[in-house]
Amino acid sequence: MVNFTVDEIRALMDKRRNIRNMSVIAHVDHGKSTLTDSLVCKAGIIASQKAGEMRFTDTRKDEQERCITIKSTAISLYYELPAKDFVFIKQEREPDVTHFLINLIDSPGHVDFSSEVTAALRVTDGALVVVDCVSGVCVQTETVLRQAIAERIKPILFMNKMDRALLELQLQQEDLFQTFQRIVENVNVIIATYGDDNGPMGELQVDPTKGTVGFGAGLHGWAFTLKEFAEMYSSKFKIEVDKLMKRLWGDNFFSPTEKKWSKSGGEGYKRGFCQFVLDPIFKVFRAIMDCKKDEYMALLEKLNIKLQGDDREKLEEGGKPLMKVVMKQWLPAGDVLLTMIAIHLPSPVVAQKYRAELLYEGPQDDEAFLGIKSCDSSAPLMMYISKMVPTSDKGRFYAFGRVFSGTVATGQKARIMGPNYVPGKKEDLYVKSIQRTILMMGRYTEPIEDVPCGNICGLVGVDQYLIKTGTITTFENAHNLRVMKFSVSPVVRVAVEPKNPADLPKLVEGLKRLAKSDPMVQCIIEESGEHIVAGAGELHLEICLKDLEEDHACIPIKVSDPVVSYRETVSEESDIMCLSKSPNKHNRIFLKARPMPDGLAEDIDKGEVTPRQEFKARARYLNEKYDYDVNEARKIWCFGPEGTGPNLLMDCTKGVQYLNEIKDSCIAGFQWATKEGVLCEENVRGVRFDIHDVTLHADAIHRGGGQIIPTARRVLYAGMLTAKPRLYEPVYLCEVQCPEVAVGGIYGVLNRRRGHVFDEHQVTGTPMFIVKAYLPVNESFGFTADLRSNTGGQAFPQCVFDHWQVMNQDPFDDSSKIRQIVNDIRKRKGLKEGIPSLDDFYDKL
Amino acid sequence: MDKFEIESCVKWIESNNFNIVALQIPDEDLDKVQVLIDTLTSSVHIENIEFFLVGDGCSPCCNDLLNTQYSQAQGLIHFGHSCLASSSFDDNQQAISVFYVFYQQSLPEDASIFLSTNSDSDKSYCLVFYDPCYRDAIEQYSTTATTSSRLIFSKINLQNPVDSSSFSLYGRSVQLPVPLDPSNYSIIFISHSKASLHNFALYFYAYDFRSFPTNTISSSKLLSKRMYAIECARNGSSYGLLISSNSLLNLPSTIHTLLDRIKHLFDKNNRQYYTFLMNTLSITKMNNFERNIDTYVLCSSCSETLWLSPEHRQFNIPLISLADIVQAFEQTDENLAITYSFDLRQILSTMKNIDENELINSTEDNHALVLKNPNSLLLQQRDGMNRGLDNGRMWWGLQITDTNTNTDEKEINPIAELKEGRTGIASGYTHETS
Ligand SMILES: Nc1nc2c(ncn2[C@@H]2O[C@H](COP(=O)(O)OP(=O)(O)OP(=O)(O)O)[C@@H](O)[C@H]2O)c(=O)[nH]1
Ligand SMILES: [Mg+2]
Repeated sequence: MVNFTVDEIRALMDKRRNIRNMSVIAHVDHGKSTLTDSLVCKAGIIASQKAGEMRFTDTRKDEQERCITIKSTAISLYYELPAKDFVFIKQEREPDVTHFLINLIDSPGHVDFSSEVTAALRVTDGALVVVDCVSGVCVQTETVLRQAIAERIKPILFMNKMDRALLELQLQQEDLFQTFQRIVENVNVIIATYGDDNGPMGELQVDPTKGTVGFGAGLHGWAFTLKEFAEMYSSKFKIEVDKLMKRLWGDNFFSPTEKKWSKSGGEGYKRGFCQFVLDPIFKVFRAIMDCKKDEYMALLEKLNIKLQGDDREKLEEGGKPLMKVVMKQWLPAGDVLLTMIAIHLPSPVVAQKYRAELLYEGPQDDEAFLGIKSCDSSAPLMMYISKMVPTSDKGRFYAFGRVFSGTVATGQKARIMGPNYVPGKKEDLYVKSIQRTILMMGRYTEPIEDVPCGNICGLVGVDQYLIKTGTITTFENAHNLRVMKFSVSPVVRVAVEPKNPADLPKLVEGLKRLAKSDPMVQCIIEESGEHIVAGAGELHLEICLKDLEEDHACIPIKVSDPVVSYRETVSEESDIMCLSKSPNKHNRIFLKARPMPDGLAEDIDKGEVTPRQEFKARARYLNEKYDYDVNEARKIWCFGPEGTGPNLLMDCTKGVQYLNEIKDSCIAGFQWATKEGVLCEENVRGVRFDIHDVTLHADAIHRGGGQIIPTARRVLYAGMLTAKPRLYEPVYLCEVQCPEVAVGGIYGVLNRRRGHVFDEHQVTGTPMFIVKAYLPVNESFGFTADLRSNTGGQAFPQCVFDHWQVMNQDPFDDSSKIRQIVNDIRKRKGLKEGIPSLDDFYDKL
Repeated sequence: MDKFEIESCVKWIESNNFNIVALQIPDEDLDKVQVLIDTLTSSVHIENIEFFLVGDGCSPCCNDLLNTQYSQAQGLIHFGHSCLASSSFDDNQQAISVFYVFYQQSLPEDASIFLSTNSDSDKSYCLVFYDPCYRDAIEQYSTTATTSSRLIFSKINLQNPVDSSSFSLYGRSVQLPVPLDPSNYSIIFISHSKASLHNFALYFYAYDFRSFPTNTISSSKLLSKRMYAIECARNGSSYGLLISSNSLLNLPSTIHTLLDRIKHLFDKNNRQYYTFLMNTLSITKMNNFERNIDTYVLCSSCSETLWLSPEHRQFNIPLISLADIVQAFEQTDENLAITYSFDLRQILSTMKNIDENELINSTEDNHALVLKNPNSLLLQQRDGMNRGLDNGRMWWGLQITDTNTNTDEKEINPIAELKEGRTGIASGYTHETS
């Protein structure tokens, strides 16, 4: 029984201060989807009995079968906040409106799908960070939290699976408190590392005494914050709720005999949290699990819990089924969490004030910016499309995103701008009507007339004009909303081909659909005709290929073994000055290549050093951090490949005539040569090319692009060949969680795969161990399966791309492993055998 | 010397009463040219007969009409393998007639065995295509031997326009009893040239296709490469239509009509284009327009050109065929199988006619619909954005680099007042200033 109508939701959409957009984020399997069920059930969308088992937001068949979330799923909920709780809301709220609209996105926890998290975070303002209190804070917890903070998303924390701590681990109250305390600390350390309490978002640290930490068990549908318990006791103690909450956490001890609080504890004193929060829960658990009917009947009486209908039958049996219904009734997760969300997460009005400057690329005073900043529904439309959601209509997608300014309406004419759109130009820009606006409700959608800013919705008819993401606006001079930065990259690739060659066109069409349906996957057609699918990891690829075969192309396909992409680089400065002459012999370029200092390529990746930066500021940065000569650093001609990559072309010439006229041609040659390196046509990384001198023909017609582009490319290749070329291989950071007995097995597997363990520790308070290692991506195929079979299925790895590692071997040595790799790549790409010789590129004076 | 078919050549010259004749001979036979010309001169009973040797201006499989025209010859004798791209009926103004000597050979052994046993396919018909050097052998074979009625032999089609009931591809035509479809036909190709084999394998990729001499050729590989080119075609924003002068002489009206259609396609899809007429294509020349062109489209009469062969490696600007453009912009239904050929006449025959109304109707939308294709795959190439294409510019060439002359002055300055510049070749000019 859905307890709200679309009209009611639509009405609430205008009450911007009563809207909360939030994502549920966590490490894999920490119980996000299960917990989300409690919220969904509260809104009446699913029956309360089913909550926790259904995982309503896992809409795909494979998600249900594998019990893992693959795509993030959005759902809008309608919640009436009890009047008593209004006082806790510290931000502005709509006067006289008791209802809240909560737009929630359940995200996947597996690293391979973390681009889905990125897309979810972009359209929300708050995040419910779920931590399994038995496993504690894991890699992915940190990754998603870091991303959230970078996007200026306010976090709140939920400790999940408390039932396991009680039933499986049989933790004592004090131990459980310590576990909780440690998790809170760990989370706060991460928050402090990437965020700042004095920043524009205000206080970020989570704190149980402020009610920003929840506890409970999503599976059983119960949850609480200290506020719930403080409310129970506040009249008894005659202390205000918010003051009492402080006593219920940390070093606050109470002696029941003396009826006094103390900061230090001592004889007869018990920690407030244990005494007033854990103790009642433990009692209920013990009585019911031990089936002591008298005891629990008394407790139920005391707690004023009255079971209804069918649930009454469970009273006889006791045990787990009863515990579930009792706890759910006593501490209903839906109410507690929704209240917590309404109170502590920011409304779009609040959030967009500080998010606007990060979101918008244009000037910080134009109409679009001001519309975003003030969340003004009458300002020009600004909407960000963060992902595409497949519809039942094959090959068509809903464009899913957030309205940041103005109102988007069915039939409205709008500018659809892709990521390559540049204001004032026509590229990657379409002006089209929005066919329909829709509300996304998990597995259902509902048409809706229009959607004002501060809300999340889907659009029909926009998918044809955008590849994956984009900006939709009605403002003529609008710039793009900033593109999302993903924390993972597609380093694992396979080639696909149709089993039946006649299906090739279908395959290409299917690849396009696949590319659209997933924020991260890359579908590439190589010049050789190979069709490549690149994903973040093995699981990601597996899902993508299955989707490709079953949903997008609908043809049987053949898949090659996975391969990784490498990067070409150099390890020393060119040992000679390289010279190449143009085809007409009238132009000469002199150049040397050398490696970038450590960290610079990463700085370029991260956007610390970019082509868009003001050149003087950039030069200063390069000078201070990397000791580059300021004058040279001011003369960076370009970045590459793709104009933004981690290689630099620098002008180190002195007083060369006409030099500027050949700049464009040199840049074109540079983009080409860094895209397809000299060793095996892989991308180049971390190389600085210095043009030392140029002699040019006096007549412009003899130094045109046709003469200079190939020459620039040749001299860049010569530069690389003379600078001790090397390969970079991608390396995963791999975190394996397992019980102690399995640790030995993990080492064995890692050693065989060139893995390098750099950390191993026990998760305090639990029997689990965490092993952290670096593992070359090339060695990671089948790693998960291998690990499971060597540890009796007890070890569970998470691999995420971490860095590029230089392979310090000489590719000119025929027996080296790196040479083998080069040969294999050249063969795969259909290139001439062997590394091209210097004579091909280097000309004698 | 037999392969030169001197007798027929003489007969052809005499019957046309030519006194200037151009000869185009494959490079490997250039050593025999003197003997050939001597023999011809002595056998032809025409006074003052002159022979010119041509063939420098194009690939050996094409007719070098450009140089034939320069030499003012009335006729051209083309020796060796031909891509059969030229046809005399293509244009009324064409004055030069062509006589082909294909260097007839006997069939490869495995081909004759196959033709006589012809036992391997379950399709009702088998189309036999072959390179022109097997024409006589096939003719002899199909008239004398008792061939199975399954086998349908194509004809090398040189002079006459093909009547509409027959199917024509790459200068071969064949009568079809039932519609052309993979379920009705299997295909045989007896090849001499690798390029023509590729073309046929590509066209018949969905068919049961066999070639002789037996060859492991993967038609899906060929098609994959073309899929890349088609994506390039979709992805581009500014195109360079490349036409070689010789192509234009070989298939003048076909090329003109095709260019009209293609330009119309570009207009309809709001793509920018430039047309380049070059005598010989070179990457150096093409690179000179790097800032304006992101995809070159080759309109070559030659269907076996190296520029489009699977072995050709793209340079920094993709070079694609007209067929790629047609596939990219005309093919809308993904379920329709692709038919892919480099044969311009074939492409023209499959293209939709220009619907003028359509253009008028869509003009309003045209301005809204902008350059980049939305469904573009992430291709391993830079797109217009990254290349920083100079789309605003309408011309490119010798630039006035003098910054002192501001635009106003330029407009006032009549052309006549411009001073004489440098002349000569690059190594040293007259009037050189510095
Ligand atoms: N004991 C116990 N198990 C739980 C609880 N919450 C979830 N689980 C179990 O943990 C497993 C994972 O739950 P999910 O909700 O799918 O976890 P998730 O975080 O959504 O996982 P991904 O989306 O794949 O990252 C399931 O088997 C759940 O039944 C809980 O509170 N207590
Ligand atoms: Mg989940």
